[in-house]
Amino acid sequence: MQIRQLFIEQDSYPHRLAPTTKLIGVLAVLSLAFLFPWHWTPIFLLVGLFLVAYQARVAKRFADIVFKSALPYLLMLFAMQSLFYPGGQTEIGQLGWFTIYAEGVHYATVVSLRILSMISGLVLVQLITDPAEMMTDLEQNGLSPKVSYVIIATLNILPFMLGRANAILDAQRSRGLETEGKITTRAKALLSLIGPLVVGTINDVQDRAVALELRGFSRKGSRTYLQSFGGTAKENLLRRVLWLLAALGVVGRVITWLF
Amino acid sequence: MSLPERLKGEFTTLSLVLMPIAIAINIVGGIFIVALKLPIYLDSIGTVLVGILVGPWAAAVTGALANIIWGLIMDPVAMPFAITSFFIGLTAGFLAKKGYFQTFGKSMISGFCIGLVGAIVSTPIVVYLFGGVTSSGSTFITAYLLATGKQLFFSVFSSSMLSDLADKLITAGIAFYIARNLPERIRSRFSQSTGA
Repeated sequence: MQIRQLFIEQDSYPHRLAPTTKLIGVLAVLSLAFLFPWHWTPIFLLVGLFLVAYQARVAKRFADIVFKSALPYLLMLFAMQSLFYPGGQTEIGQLGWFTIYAEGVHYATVVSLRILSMISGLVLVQLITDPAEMMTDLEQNGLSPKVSYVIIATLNILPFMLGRANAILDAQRSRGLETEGKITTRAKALLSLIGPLVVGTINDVQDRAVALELRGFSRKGSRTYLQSFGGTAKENLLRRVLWLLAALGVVGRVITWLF
Repeated sequence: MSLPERLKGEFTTLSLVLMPIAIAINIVGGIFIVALKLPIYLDSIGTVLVGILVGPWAAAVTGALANIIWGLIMDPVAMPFAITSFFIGLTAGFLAKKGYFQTFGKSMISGFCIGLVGAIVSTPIVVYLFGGVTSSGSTFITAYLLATGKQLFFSVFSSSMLSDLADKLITAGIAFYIARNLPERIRSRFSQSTGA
């Protein structure tokens, strides 16, 4: 199990945009990809996202990650839908005992383009945004500091917990815990692994809570921030355009429903 | 108690500190599954545990954030399933409140309900967002049902019932044992300490 840190620090226009501006961009991508009635919109979104990645000088890593996370999924989708699409009419080929239907291939293509846009949008925004800055900007835009604490704390705690989990695994094995053999044996071992992990970490909870309280965590009133983001006229315009694009997807869908 | 008051009662500093640990348990549990080569995911032990110790809304938020973070650091496809995890947490919390985690037998009933809710909520997501395919092995069951001429919606629902049910029964069982064996000193600090 590997935890990846996607953010790559660079000096580029997409990097300098406020984190929330980029999030509105993701929202626009999702809305256009999934809601806008024209099936081939995602192609333009993918080209657009790639150009932004290129401008931010993360294109290679971007393409690499999107490809790796989407490939197994897309293979399954094509295999399943082109062979077993219910109501397939037009036969376009044979694969062993199975018939490939044109409708299934078309459906699989449409869905995979949407999925690709979703994955691309989410991956790109993480590649070009520092997670800590993202949380600060979200807080300034109304996100509860408590939610952002939970997210940031989880990201900080994870490597530590992974280490602890591996230590527990080794410790229990050296005490003779059976981690091989019948499935019931292995399932029983689970309890002796998860138990210590949970009890050990929950033990720290009280200390952490006290430490946070001492720093005014649940204090009422507004906070002062060290950093602030955006605010230029150009960026405000961009934000408006992105909101409009996000709305366009919804409006397009509503119109096709009505008529 | 009105809803806002109850929400406030669940989101104390103590429970907010518990959440990141619960989310990490959800994610790290995967390590043990890989090490023991078990055919389940077990990715909601932390969520159910928050449901038992704190309450439904805290558990719902824990579940949703767990999927968002999972999406951030490992697999973007996990993100839309934040909705499923939200309802899994909510269900677990409400059941715990009604005392359905007090004995092992009762927590099996809870596991069944949680699995059912999980399958009901995730089916439309899998069907409409992902064209019926997920990255887990249950997709093969879906493909098999489709091949026998069943509709996509039915195929996805049945396969996720089969895979989720076993998973959530085990999850509920483990969460029950952990909550029960927590030292009293720790358990008594949480608002819903009578849950198990």
